Amino acid sequence: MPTAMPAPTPTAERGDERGREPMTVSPEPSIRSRSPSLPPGSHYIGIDLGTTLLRLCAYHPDLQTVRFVPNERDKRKTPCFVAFPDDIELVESGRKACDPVVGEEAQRWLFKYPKATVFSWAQLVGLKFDDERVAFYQRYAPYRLVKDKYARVCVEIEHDGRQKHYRPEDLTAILLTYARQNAEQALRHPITGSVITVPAGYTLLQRDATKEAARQAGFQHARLISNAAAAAIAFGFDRPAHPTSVTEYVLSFNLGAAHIDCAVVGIDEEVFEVLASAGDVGFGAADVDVRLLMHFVQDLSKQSNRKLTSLDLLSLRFGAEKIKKALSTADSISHTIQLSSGAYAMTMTRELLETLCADFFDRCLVPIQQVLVEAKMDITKISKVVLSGGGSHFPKLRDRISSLFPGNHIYDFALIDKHKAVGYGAGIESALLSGMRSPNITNYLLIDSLSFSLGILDTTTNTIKTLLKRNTALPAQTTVTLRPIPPTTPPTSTPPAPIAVIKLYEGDTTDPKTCHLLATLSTPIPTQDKHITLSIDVDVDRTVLVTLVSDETEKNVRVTDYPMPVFDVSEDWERGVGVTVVGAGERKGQAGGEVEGMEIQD
Amino acid sequence: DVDKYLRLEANSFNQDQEVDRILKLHAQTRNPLEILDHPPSVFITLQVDDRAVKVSYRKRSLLLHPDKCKHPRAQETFEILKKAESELMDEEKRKTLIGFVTDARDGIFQKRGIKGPVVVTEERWKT
Repeated sequence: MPTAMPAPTPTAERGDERGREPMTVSPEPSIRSRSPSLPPGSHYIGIDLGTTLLRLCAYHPDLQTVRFVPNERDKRKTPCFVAFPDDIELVESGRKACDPVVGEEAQRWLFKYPKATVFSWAQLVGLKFDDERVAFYQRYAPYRLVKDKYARVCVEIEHDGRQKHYRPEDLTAILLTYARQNAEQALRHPITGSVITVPAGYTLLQRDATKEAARQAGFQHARLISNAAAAAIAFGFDRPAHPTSVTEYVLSFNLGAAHIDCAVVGIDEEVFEVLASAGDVGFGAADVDVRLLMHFVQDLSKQSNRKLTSLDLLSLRFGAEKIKKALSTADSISHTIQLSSGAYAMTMTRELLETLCADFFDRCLVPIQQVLVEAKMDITKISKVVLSGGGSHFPKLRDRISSLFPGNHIYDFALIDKHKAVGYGAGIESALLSGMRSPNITNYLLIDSLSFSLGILDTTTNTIKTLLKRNTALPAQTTVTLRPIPPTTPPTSTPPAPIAVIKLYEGDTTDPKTCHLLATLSTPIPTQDKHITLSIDVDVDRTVLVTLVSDETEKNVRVTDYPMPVFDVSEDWERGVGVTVVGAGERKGQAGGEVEGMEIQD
Repeated sequence: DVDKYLRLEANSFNQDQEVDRILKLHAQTRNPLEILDHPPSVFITLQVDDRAVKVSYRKRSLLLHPDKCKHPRAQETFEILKKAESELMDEEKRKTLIGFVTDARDGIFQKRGIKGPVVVTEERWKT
């Protein structure tokens, strides 16, 4: 029998041929090989950070499983409200007037200080002020939204007779601080890490803003996972022991108050791999409230003696939420809402609600179709559809989704509630990151994927060349070769500066106008082989690291989009030249030349 | 606690070994079949089973994913592993790979004077 191929070409030579560093096996500390998570033994907590509710879930060492952590009022859910009251009551009770209050206590202040109480701001995190969603949001918010110096949206709060500006992430930080203190009190140990659920459609900027909030709240490490992925983990925890050893494909659909999350997850025993995810941020079950609200306003306008104040609109909105929830089980409901002009009594039927929201359900199904296409998944290959989140209680939505899939594939959680699934998922992930081993929690592994493609601007065509496609499993890395392209018409007589400018974008189209600029990087134009090597590295925490190699110089830039895009270019950058992608550094010789020198063993 | 400590130690020893093995293979041959630690017989039979690829990938990802493995080069190793898996699960790429392996194998067989392949691939079977 043959033992081995005749001696393969020495590795070092082959490496040099392709202009690559020969690989050595010894561990070498470099910037890209840092370990993202905290040392073993650190305590993590799972945070289901919804738009309207916050749930904390953590590993309970005595019970050896995860449990929801009660707040100081012994409730397992905290409304996402932050209020800045300046009331003599509070000052007398020893609290400084400027201290924000959080949760149910803050909710209590809503009607007293509507201009100093903020709620459901989660959809504003990381948005530009001129985003159309901000204008839509402003119509139904009692507080004012303003622009900050980075053109991002800010919340203006009237407090102590003065106007104060809070970024949405500052408000999230207040909420997360409350969550951390709460959990530390209940669990009696310090907590340094967190697993926070965010909508799948969050951009890197929104994720960075949320991470910043977690950092401000005292968490040294924050892992962000999508709601849909968390629900899929909860499904793995909830389902009975799975006998067959084939990969199971699950479609996880999460309808929250202000987001739709959808993901196709391949579950291979303990390994959960997010194959594709899509979402609609800023659109969710709260839009049903808005529709009901508009219906009520129309109804009230027929009664001529009514005048609606902004507080009345708030009451109507919360009334609409109650009615919506009741109609998930009841066919019709009579409800009375107290308004400033007297009581408003109405009867609402489920049929009418469904007519009002006909297009709402259509829009809910769009991400489902999208993920199925992106995961190259046939509907028949999906074994279960996991519905989670409060919005999934709509009977109509359930019908629409089940009619999409042949047979009855909708999975009903056995042990946990649908609206708690995301919290459970976050709790389990936090237990795993803490390194807990318990008989009740399997050693799961969640392999997440990129939500949006990353690419660079190719100046010859003025389009974006995608380098890492969306839904690439994380951690991901790619290398390309670039060639500097001088502009065809030099603008002035001055020669172009000897730098190449590389613009990194996030987005799924090739048009730079519709994508989001993450960073503008520069590198000297190489004199020897005229080529620049660019590597993009995304780790499990979605930290983007760009390495530029030109001639002998190597430059590492950690790209964070927060609080503004990275601008790592010297003064004369406008005279710098653009680049074009000439080849894929790594990909060139993948299956081809690589295998020739392969060893054959017997 | 001694038991727990020993288990952790054994686990991290396995992890380090696996990281070294994969990085070494990546520097040498980059053969996905070897990275996923297929039995040597696969180079003779050239029958790659989807399930075997998946199982091997699953076991190794549980060992090497940066969330589980504290080795400084875990991330890089996991990327290599992931790439090997996706190459083998991709019809086209697998065909190319198997083609190269077949040529290499036949070359050796010829050189050493071994008669005919043990199991031939489907295309050759037809002709």
